[in-house]
Amino acid sequence: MPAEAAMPALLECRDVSVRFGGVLALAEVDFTVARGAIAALIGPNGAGKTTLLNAITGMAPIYGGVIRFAGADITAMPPHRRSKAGVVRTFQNLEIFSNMTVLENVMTGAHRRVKYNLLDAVFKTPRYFRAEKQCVGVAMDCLEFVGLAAARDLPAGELPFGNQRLLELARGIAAAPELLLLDEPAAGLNMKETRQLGALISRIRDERGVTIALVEHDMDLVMSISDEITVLQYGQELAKGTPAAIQRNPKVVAAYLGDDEDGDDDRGAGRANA
Amino acid sequence: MVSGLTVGSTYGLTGLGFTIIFNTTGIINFAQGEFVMLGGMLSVYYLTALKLPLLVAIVLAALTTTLVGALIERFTIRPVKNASPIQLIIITIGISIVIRGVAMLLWGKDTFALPPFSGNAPIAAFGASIMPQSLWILGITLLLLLGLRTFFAKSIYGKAMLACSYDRKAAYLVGVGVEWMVLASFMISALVGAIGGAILAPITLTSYDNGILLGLKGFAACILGGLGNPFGAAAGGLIIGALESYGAGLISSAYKDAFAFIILLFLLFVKPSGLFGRASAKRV
Amino acid sequence: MAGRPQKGSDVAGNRKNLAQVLAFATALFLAPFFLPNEYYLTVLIIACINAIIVAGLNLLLGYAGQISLGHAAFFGLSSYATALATAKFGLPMELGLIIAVGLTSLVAFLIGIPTLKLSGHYLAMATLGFGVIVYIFFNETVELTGGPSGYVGVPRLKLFGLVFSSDRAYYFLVAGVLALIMLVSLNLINSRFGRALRAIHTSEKAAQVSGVDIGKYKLLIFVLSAAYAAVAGFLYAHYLTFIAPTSFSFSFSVALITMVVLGGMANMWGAVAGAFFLTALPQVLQVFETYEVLIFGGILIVCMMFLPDGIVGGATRLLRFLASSLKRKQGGADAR
Repeated sequence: MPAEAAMPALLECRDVSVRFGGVLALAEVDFTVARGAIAALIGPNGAGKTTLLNAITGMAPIYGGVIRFAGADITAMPPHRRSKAGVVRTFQNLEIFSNMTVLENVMTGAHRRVKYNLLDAVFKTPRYFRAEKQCVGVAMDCLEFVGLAAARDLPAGELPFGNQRLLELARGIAAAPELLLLDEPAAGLNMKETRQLGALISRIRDERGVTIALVEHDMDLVMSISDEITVLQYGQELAKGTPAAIQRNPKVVAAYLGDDEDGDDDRGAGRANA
Repeated sequence: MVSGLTVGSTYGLTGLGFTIIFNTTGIINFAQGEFVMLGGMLSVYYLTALKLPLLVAIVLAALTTTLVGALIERFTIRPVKNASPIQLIIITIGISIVIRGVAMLLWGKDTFALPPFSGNAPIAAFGASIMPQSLWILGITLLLLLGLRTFFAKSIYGKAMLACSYDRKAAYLVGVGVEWMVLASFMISALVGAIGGAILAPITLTSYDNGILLGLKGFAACILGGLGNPFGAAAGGLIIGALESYGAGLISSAYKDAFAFIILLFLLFVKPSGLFGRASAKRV
Repeated sequence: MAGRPQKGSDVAGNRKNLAQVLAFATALFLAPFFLPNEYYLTVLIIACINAIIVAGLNLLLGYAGQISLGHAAFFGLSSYATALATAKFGLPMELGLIIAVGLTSLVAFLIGIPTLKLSGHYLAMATLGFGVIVYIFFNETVELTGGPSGYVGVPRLKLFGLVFSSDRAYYFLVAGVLALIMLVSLNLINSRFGRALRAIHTSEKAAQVSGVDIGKYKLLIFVLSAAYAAVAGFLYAHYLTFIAPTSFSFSFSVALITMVVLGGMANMWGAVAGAFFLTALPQVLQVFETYEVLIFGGILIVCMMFLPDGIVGGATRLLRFLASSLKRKQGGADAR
């Protein structure tokens, strides 16, 4: 397990506030993710979790606060530059490219890694062929990792829902991110698919060295794979700690009262960093 | 100046038509200008070909145009509820072209005039001479505005239409007949546009293709006043009309038409929410 | 609008594209020998010129998903620019070409920066407004453009010493340019740039997180499509040797969109087919002139409501369906 104190945090959000008109969606929230960790962001609906992800990826304007990534201040960076810097995310409502095949979706994910220019593309230079072949290689590798290699030539829109989620994941890792933000990756998945997803997310961290931050409602998943959990409520930080600590925290239980009975189960205890 | 305001109120009425449909459906109806054209052209037709009295001709023209609006909604808009913005834009462009084409086939390319409602003798007031038709235009426009305001603010149907634009599903769930509201919005827009066309025809003449420019200027009025704000649209129209006549005197009347568009572009680039608008429909 | 996957982005596709372009070029070069008389050559020339514009517009509208209702303006700017450069200032045509395409691209770049930040209706209206302003400019700046009666005396094309005085020679030139443009466009699509464009069309958010600079790409394809229109404008002016504002009106912008829509957006060959079909149709149907406007409008409505892939797309879908029902025994329909 990575010891948080020894290494500087990969992602550091300090006093981040986001305002939509008169509504303060996030109020001076702190959120850090240590390099190599799997950090979870949970909270009741409307707590601001997705807003925080949007702020981190540059899709929501920040009203106050600072976001640092790998030591650099990215608060003012446009979204595509943050992606190039290594921050990649998936979406709660799937945003796959339905006008491309599965393989092309993942190749697009690797866009920033494919290096050739317009002239190469138009004149089909050797550099184009080399780079495209490399891109296909990267994409196939990602598809194999998530188990979708056989579907490579299918129209992305024709995949079953669970596979579309995997496709977004593959597209995300194709960008070779340092930090992968997952927005409710288990939404709409059944229990078996969720377990497989948890194993996959752990593999992404273990085998590819990608730091992960996920927003989730499925407590089994969260408790089983997270190293650290941050709880948001009403746009503010409510609690932070290991899964075991969070489960025992009376404020968190109160916030979730009646919301998720599975949170009382033992199942989450396994991965906890005690 | 007065003539600028006069023409401006037509822009305002056209813009109002845009606003009504937009407020209910979120669609910009590119064919709005054609409703205005039809108001004028049909009035001429009923007056000259069917020899009906002026008032009857105008009322009939307005009703016919309202029917056209209903047919458009029913047969080309309702079937494609889930179309993308681009599809809807192209469809309404297609509709405006078809209406224009039919008008050209029926009535040719000539320009026509409606007789002024109460004669040609200018009235001297405020140190200028005003055409009586201008008073009619301003007066009717004001009446329409007040009527619509009351409708949207006070009547249950008006509020229901607004609800549809805010959240179609929610409106549906609370029992609003969304489809009826959409149909009504098209009909009201057509009515308003047609009246605008009819009252302006005595001054600016009418022909099969004056819908394009009017529609665009009406849209500019809409944006100027803030998309979604009916009074803003009316005010925007007056402002554009005034600016046009002022600019025509200043620079040259040839470029007069370009003013409205330059204003439009400027607004879109700098402040799409216009003067009084809510900042919804934001840029990506 | 972005439904099925469009033209492939794989290396084998390159060979397919090249083969298609060569076949197309061959067909174009053989065509004059089958025509009953020289008049049809004029129609073909204009069809090729329109196809060049439509190819660019298809990249913009079909692939990147950005609508432009004012593309006639770029076509016109280029025509007038080269007319003035060669006729008024006596510059050689090669320079005229550079000036025309350069100036038009610059205007597109400048107008594109603020315009492409808009989307949907706002974008449509902005491009429409731009087109109308330019049209008014053509009509009113009489000293420069000759006003509504047009500009006479544009020299016939002469490039690198070759004078294209006969229609046949001009046709081969224009056809060659079109084939070249098709190859460039297809190569562009079959690359990471094509993928980026299609990504922008479907989900700008997802494109951004994949590292695509959507502002830059939209501007790039907008300027490129304007450059295509500029090339077409150059060829047009030096063919007719006379240009008038009516050729560059909103009606023509709409006709261009109709050609793209008819051919099925995001289908390059469809766009070309749409251009040829809608240019030739008025000649074939004599009554078309009167009903032209109606037919265009009708096509737009019908295609958008029922045939989002256009006629070509609809036919392709039909063939695909037939092919896959035959292939079903072999397992797995080829989605390409």
